Amino acid sequence: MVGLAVPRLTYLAEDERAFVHEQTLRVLVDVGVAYNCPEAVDLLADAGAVVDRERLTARLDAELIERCLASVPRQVLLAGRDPARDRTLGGGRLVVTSDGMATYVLDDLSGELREGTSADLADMMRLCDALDDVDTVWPSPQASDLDPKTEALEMNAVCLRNTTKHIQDEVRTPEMVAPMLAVYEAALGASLRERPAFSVTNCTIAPLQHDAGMTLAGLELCRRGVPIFILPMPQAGTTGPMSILGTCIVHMAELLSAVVLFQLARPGCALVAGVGAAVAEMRSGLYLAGSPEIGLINLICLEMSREYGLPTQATGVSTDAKACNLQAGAEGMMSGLTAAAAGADSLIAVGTLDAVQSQSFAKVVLDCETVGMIRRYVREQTLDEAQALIDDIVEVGIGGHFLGRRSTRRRYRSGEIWPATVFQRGPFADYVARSLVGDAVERARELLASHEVPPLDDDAEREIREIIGTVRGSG
Amino acid sequence: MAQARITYLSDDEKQRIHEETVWMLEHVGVGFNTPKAIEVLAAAGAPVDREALTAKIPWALVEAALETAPERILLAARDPRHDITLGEEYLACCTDGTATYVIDDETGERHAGSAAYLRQFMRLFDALPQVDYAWPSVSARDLDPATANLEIEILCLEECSKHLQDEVRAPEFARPLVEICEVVADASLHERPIFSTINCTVSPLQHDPGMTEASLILAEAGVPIVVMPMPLMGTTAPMSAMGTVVVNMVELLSAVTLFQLAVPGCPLIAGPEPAAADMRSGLYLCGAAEATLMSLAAIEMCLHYGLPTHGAGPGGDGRYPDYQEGAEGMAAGVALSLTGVESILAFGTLDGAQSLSFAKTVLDCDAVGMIRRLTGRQKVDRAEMLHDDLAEVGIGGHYLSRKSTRRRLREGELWQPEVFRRGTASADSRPDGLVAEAAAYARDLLAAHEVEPLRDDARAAIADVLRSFRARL
Repeated sequence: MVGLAVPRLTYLAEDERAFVHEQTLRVLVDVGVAYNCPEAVDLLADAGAVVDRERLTARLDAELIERCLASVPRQVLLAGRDPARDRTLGGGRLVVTSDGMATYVLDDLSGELREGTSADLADMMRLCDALDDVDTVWPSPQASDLDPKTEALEMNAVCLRNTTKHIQDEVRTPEMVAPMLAVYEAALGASLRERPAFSVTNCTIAPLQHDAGMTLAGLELCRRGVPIFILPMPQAGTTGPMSILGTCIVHMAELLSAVVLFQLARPGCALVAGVGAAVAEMRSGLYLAGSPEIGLINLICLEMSREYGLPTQATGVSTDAKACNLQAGAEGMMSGLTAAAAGADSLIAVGTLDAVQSQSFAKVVLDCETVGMIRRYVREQTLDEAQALIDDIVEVGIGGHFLGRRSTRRRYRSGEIWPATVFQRGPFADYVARSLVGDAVERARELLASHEVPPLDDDAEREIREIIGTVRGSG
Repeated sequence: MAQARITYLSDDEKQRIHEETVWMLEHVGVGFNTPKAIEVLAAAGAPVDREALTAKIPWALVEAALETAPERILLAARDPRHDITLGEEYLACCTDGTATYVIDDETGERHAGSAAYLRQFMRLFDALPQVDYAWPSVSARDLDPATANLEIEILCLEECSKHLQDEVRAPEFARPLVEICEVVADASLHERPIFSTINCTVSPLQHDPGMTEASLILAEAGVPIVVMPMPLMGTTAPMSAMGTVVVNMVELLSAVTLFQLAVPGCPLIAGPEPAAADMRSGLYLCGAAEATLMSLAAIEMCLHYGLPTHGAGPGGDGRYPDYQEGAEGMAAGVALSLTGVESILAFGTLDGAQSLSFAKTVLDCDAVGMIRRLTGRQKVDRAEMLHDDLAEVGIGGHYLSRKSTRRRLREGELWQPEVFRRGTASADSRPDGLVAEAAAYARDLLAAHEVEPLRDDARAAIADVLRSFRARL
């Protein structure tokens, strides 16, 4: 036997993908997109798009879209402060990032919620730094104790001090670009073009609009070598139609309109197609992160993005559960496993509850178990006679057992069975009235007590403080 | 129509596993452990060893057996409204069995299974619309082992009007059980098979004599048989996922051959359940990723052979209905359902299928709801995408006031959970809050739900069957 088996999940047939493509183009040609800033509209006009300078909208045709898709790199380097933690998105290995940006922190044992602080953020980043299954981080929770004027800079400084992994965040206004890049370049001692240790998320505004501030920031950031994760977030029922298919078409139209814009601004800039579309909870209007429709949205948008040759990032291991319970495990595994099996290059996963409103230390630990399982699922499995241990089967024959076989010990040690860290195995007596959440909290505490992150050097710290001080003192 | 589907093995890889399976069947063979089976195989020309009670099975016999195995299988129910047919593109969901203990969802204590617990669970299964058919999920350890196999089925028929599936462990139970089921169905089981049986093989490469002899009698009476190999990677199968799949397939095809030779055309369901052993304790791990990967491969092989197939589902190795149970159960449930399998085992079991929980039974209904939504068929056309709404709302604005939003919400575009929490942030963030709510949901259902009682004449006839069975002991 020779081969490599790996589970692959597919959804749309070829003609169905052609239909979604055709309808996405029709939306972009017939309806268009609002960019909401003249700089973006100028770029599109220069490229030959039909624009409305008053409404700040543009209509995009197939030729322009295809030209821009062709210049998107297939792989994206996400550098870490520590080069040993560099990750290449689109390089074949699933890249997992912690989820952001929660408002609250959950006390996992009492169930109490409180607003997040910079101390929580520091702990969360350090915990993510300690866990191998987290490849890159997104700052979370929001630090409510910081001055809103410098909050974005200070939060990123907290992240840089507490993890050496790649950091992905939002930059919401163009004014914040220069100081943010200065903070990173101080920490790295290199330009971001050389060492892209920072990437940004660019959220569009459904239906069919772009956020002016974030887009202007994105234009400058892509010119400076910062990878951009485009994250449309139409919600079926509110900002998207009450149709999973229709919502995905809105999503793809927004995504392609952003791809065109950033590739026109800097051809060949690093872009990642995120999947942020979701569904609304129709009683409250709230965003739902764990419904099965999220799985279907992931499948459609991942398949279309892959067809366009874009590196991808899906929603994964996300949940609407209020605590680390069965619902959280089930919802997270559904979105994470299906996205990974559909070929997502990366997952936004790890650490949040309640539709990304709350942050949980226990859930970071538990989600790493889910991620470990997902990695085992999508690991390529060699299929040959030696791997199948046919000789052992023949020798053991009818009856008997395999406990005494050398291959059993050898292959167990080499990882044939994925070893759980916190998930409970073994006799029930070992776990009587012992809560999994309690074990996860304890594991997080132990890691936080023992894990050390190499500090920034003194010059970098001084420079970062000066940059933040300058912004704080500015008009 | 779009439909999510998972594939694992390529055609070439399936061919490789097939070739290894054929070689094992023909050259190593299988221990049937009962002369009754050996005579069936010998009569068909298989080389047998009457002393060791083993047989080597030429592929031609397996191939002929696969030809006669039906593709669609009626699982009739005491209440005909609950009839289901496997093989009709509907994902049927059966309860899992057979746990030894019941978890007290409030205290976390584990109690021995009993007839009283089983009675409650069967009534709960009857009440829950997500449950299509039921396997008695907890053993009734307080019943006399000499009659338990019959008493359990009677209890289940009383408390649940859905199709019943269970193991029959010894041949002496088979005929009385057929009598009981035919009285309840008021028809022969060929016509109304309200009971199906599970035939577990004994890894590696053996059959259980008592269960096999019982199954031969039951197949003759029209009872569908689920062939369920359960090789454990590391103990009763090699420390190799693919090797374990080969062991699984050899056992499964040997059973298919036996039953089709004995009763050509008898309804068979392939139920591959390869799993991994926890190498520290030797315990069964059903929630491990490897168990699901092996099941994926085995299910693909069964579907390749054209057998109606069922797989494992939302049951994990967690000790309580917690995050681990959710994650492990969903991984197995969703991955195996995505193969296009006809049914999955779900509902209530945890702790490596050693324990059963009322709360988890209810919570698994939401997991099954999610799986059904994800694996359902989806139109891909202009009407489905709400093309006109999309053009009219255009840039900016919202879809809240569109007529289509209300209509399609009511039609089920967005799946709605029964117990899983949604809504405002601080609803209840206690770690045990969801389990408490699910347990209360189960209690409320049990208090309100009534099962149509058996007919008086059926009850009297069942009592007669049981009385004469006891008299023969």
